[in-house]
Amino acid sequence: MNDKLSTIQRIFRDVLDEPDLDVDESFSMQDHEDWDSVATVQIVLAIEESFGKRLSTDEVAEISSVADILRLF
Amino acid sequence: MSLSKHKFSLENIEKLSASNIIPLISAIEPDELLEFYDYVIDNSDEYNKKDHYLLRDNLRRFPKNDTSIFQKRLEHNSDWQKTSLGKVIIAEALHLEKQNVEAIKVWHETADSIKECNAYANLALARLYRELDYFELAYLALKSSSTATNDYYTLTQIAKVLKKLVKKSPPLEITKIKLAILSTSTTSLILPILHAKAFSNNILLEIYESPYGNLKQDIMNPESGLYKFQPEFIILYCHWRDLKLSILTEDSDRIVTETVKEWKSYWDLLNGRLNCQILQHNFDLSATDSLGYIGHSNISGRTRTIRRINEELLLQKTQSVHIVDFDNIAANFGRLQWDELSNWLRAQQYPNTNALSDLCESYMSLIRSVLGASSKVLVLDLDNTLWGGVIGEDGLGGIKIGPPSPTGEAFSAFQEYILELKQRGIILAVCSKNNEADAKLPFEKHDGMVLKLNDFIVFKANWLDKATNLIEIAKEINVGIDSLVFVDDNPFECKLVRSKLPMVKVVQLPETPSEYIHGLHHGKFFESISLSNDDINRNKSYKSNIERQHHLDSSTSLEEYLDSLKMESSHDKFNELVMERVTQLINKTNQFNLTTRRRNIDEVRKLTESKKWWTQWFRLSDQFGDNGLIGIVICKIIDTCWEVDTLLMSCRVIGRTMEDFMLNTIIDAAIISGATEVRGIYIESAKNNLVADFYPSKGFILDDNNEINSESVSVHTLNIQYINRSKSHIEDKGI
Repeated sequence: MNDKLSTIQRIFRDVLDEPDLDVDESFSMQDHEDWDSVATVQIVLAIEESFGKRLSTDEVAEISSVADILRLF
Repeated sequence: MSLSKHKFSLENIEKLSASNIIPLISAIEPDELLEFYDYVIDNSDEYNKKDHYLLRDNLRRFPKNDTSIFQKRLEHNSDWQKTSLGKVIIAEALHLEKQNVEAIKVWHETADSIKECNAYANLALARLYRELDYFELAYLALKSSSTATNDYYTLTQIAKVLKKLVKKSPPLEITKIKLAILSTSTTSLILPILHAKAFSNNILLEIYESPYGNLKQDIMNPESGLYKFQPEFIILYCHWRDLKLSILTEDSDRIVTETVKEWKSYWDLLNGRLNCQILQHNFDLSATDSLGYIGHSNISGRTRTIRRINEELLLQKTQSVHIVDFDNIAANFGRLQWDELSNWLRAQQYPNTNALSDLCESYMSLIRSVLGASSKVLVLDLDNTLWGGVIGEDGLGGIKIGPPSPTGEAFSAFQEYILELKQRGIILAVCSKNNEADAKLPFEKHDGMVLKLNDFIVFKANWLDKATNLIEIAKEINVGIDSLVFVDDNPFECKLVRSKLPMVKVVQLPETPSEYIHGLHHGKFFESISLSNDDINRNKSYKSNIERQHHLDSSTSLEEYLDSLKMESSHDKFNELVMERVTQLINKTNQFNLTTRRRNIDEVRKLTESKKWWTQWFRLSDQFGDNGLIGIVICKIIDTCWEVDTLLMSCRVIGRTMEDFMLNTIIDAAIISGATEVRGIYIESAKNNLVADFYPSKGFILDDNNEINSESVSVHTLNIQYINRSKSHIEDKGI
């Protein structure tokens, strides 16, 4: 698991409040009932802080899977 | 440490602090991780969140084959225990390894010893206790966590754990409220913070969120989801951008009037269709008004116009509307951080997510005050709380209070703040571990003291534990324990009170005396929506109560005592002069309240306009003082039957036969009107057990056939044609 993915996994675990959650690139909004639009913004806020890069409104709107996040950051 | 292959040598690394090395952790191979942890934990100084999280996230990379060396680090006497960071990592590792009992122990130690980590540790405890099905402990830890933090991220986690806990085992003694939030911008990010901060105020929320940007439509359309939801509280969430003001407004008078008129029309619609209380934001000033000085000095300037709108909102508001001082919250938070543009542009989120905690605290303090759940009594420790030092050891000359030292002046500033609280009706009490004579000495002899002995209604200086003393204090003043706020500098005492009396609000003072005022003020415990004369006179009234108590101790019989008080009551139907006080009592009286029916001021006013209703307020005075307006009766007249819709009395006059006087007044009025029967209804609540047997004890007969009877409701009747009155010791002074 690369660095980015492990940080992303930690953030997903926090936001979705599931300490044993495993995420990979294919993990998407359909895979978890608590991953809604609020969770997306929370995830983005946390990832932005970790990676020191900001996304635009349009980019945030594109996110529906971990693959999208990896592509954008 | 063989870091050389990663191009670091130990020699170079030792020049860096632990915090500088920890970010390199991803370059460390798993089999060298333990050595790395040993090094950075050993060399770390103060706890910080970033190091904690990095070390936590990498715990999962430890090789699984030989755990015995790793386990040694987790033992009680290991080197890791010696630093704050090490202790937290031990707790994390135990948690991860599912050694739950050990993890709970270390998390407790962490919560106590590392202040910055208190909310995090308590959240971890809440999770562990929930997994182990210890729900009560889970709620307790979660509450500590939600009180200890204003961090956005932590609060969202608290909201999540809360949701799961409620699903598994709903909390017992908690107030449930239906709240609607109507906004011109995004509200989804504030929802978890609302839930978490409500919970720390002992409130469980059910929330309705208007569809994005649909504030007006939701209010206008009588079929909207808002009206189906039937909220008890509504937040009208708006901010300066909604005003769409240009930097200079040509006709600013008209803009001010029309803006407020528009909001007022919303209040009227909402109040017409719902029985609800409205929390209306005022408008924050822009952090970056391009007009600068002119914006605030010129009558047409944007800043000045916003200030005038805010003033007009207060002038136009009605009883059920409460103006949230959004602008002041922004100022306290720091306007530049508050108005953070990036989240606004990206997600229409306003203000900064880190300010949402302060905002929600403000809502909750208002809600608490509408519910009559604001705190009433401030209980203070003495040594290192009201003065610097320990009076029993340092003596009168050794303690620090008053000028010339800055520390002494910090303590007098704190005392002045407390004196102001007293002046607005908050009751003061002392709870200190001291010899009584020592404890009283500074009040009697020290020039620097702002507070005097007679500012306190109860003074407990002894060696009993503080929880026992607090129970005594509540009893002597005759208030519920949940009305107490306890202030102490000592973490041990604070923890003891928190765990033994979770309903008491505990303020552990910050380390520096100059920050004491903030520490106490921040909790907004004493927030009140209106100030009546009775609030201001309350201290006097409680003081007379204590004197009455002493008088009782010297009287031989209760009857004799009651007669010697020379009590007099005046009473009359509700009128405009007493409307605020009457409404206040209806909404906050819990104990001596037969039906606990709440009404807002407009509803109360409507009663007085109808012939179907008989209303009466009561005042009580005696030789020790005037207790003010303390009793309320509302009867519904149904042919020849008077149904007592509301009968309530302030708890500070319990035990004075006031209830008999009120009942006799009802019966007299009913007889004069030609009625033959009085019907008494008792509706059980969490707090009115005191009056469960009121009607039977006054000769009423349970009406078995009435269909309203249920587990929590009982109906009683009294035939008033032939009755024996209960004797009251109060003289009727009429109107």
